Amino acid sequence: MKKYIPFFKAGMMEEMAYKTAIFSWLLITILQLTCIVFLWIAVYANAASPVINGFTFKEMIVYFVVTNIFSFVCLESSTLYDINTEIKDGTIAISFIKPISYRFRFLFRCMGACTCRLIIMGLPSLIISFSLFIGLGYLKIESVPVFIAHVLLFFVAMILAVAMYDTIDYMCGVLCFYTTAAWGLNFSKGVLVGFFSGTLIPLAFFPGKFGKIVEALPFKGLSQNPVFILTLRVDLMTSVKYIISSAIWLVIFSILGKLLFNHASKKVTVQGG
Amino acid sequence: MSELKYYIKLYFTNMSRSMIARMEFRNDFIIGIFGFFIQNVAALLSLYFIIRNIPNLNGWNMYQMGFLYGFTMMPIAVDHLLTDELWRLAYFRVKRGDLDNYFLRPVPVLFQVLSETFQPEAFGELIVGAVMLIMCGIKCHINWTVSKVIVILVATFFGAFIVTAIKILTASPAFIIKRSGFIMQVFYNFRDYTRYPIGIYPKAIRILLIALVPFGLIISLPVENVMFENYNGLVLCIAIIAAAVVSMTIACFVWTACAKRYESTGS
Repeated sequence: MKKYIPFFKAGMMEEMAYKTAIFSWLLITILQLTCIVFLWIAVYANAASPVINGFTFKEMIVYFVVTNIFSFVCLESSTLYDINTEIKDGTIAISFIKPISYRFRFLFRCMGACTCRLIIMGLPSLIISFSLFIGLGYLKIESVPVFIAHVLLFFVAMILAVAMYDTIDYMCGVLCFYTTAAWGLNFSKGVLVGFFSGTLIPLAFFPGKFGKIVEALPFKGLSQNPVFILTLRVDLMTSVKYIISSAIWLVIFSILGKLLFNHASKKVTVQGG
Repeated sequence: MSELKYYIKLYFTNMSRSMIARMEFRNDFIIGIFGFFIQNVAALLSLYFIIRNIPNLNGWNMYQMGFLYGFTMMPIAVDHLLTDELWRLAYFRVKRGDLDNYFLRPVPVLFQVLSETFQPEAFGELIVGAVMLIMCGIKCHINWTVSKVIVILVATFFGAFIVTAIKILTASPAFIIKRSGFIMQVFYNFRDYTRYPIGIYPKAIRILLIALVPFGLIISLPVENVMFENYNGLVLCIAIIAAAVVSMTIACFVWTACAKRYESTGS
């Protein structure tokens, strides 16, 4: 464990170097949310009932604001590109003989980067938006201890989500052993994960059988479940259930990643190493 | 005239080089198209899942919304196909200082940059867009007239010019501040606003979308005209062409002024 701490720190430092990226995210997100707010105002104005698929207008706005912050902090990892770079410049050969786990090295770096984004942008924007929500009556907190319990569970769910996202990123990175299409893989992965984890719309909007299948997939643990826990949409028991299911899926995905890596590492062709 | 011929020949030579370079990594290309394709499918499905809960959105039914969404892709896909090098320039090429060779050749820098990349991934967008336009267009029972078709064609081609002008304008600061990709991203993202009928926004945003970041002018108004015939086609065409000419002129002027500040890296 101790030997991975430097990678955690390196991840934080690297993220610090991209401050403009963090602040441009803020501007882009505010623009996006403005658009979403007007869309939902129009949707609810045209709807027959004030509740659509279990969401009132206020709940919808809370959901989108928190989801945007959450996905900025957690759903980003450079692992895929890092693996691709290592394959391209040949440094991967050295990584194979180092006495550290290839997987954990990237995981800790990703965790470091997330921690940095959480401190610089995530926590301040969450605190500001929660104060606004409570002040404007968009979110009601009936008991403070319960809310604190939700916040603590949220952090557990968040760590699991980050680890899960990085594992998916890692698996896509390992696919770069077979193909050079890092950009396309990364883009496709982002789209699919975003769609199935509920960052575009809550999964409750997915109709019929399709909705049931998506609900059964592990991706909702990446965004929708943590957001539901934090915004008090589910009770504590359900929150714990969400966390257990995420943990199980994380183990499954880690094993799959390991198997994939074992297969791929026999195939590796180093370009110019 | 011979000069124009020379440039056209040069452009196609560059483009075919770019295509050859891209085809070397065929998987990248296929996976890239797949990525754009599913991105649009995901966005469309999301829109559909929202709209199916309500009878209509301020008078727009599902098929009309689908037509609007399909049309948002057309000018943007044309631009995407031809001028994607601007993204790379704004995000990291100026910073790396690897534009030196452009400045040494007796051809305008902007011309060389724009002819650098041909982005076949944009076909993914063009296909999804065209399918949406045709499928939803049939379901909408649009009363097609010559003037509507002309407006749509003008909006696609001159709209692409306006999108390119916005990209050139926002890429130019890179020559001074080294990286301007995020400025480009902010302006480019205004196109997302046009995926929904412009009537859902308050007046200030509507004016912004029509006059300042004219995605509304090239997408929302022509589609509204097709659906509800509430604009004069001729006036709309003139407005779009005028906006294209003005924005392109300003963009080229700003680009030339900023490019003078380019300095290569010392290393």
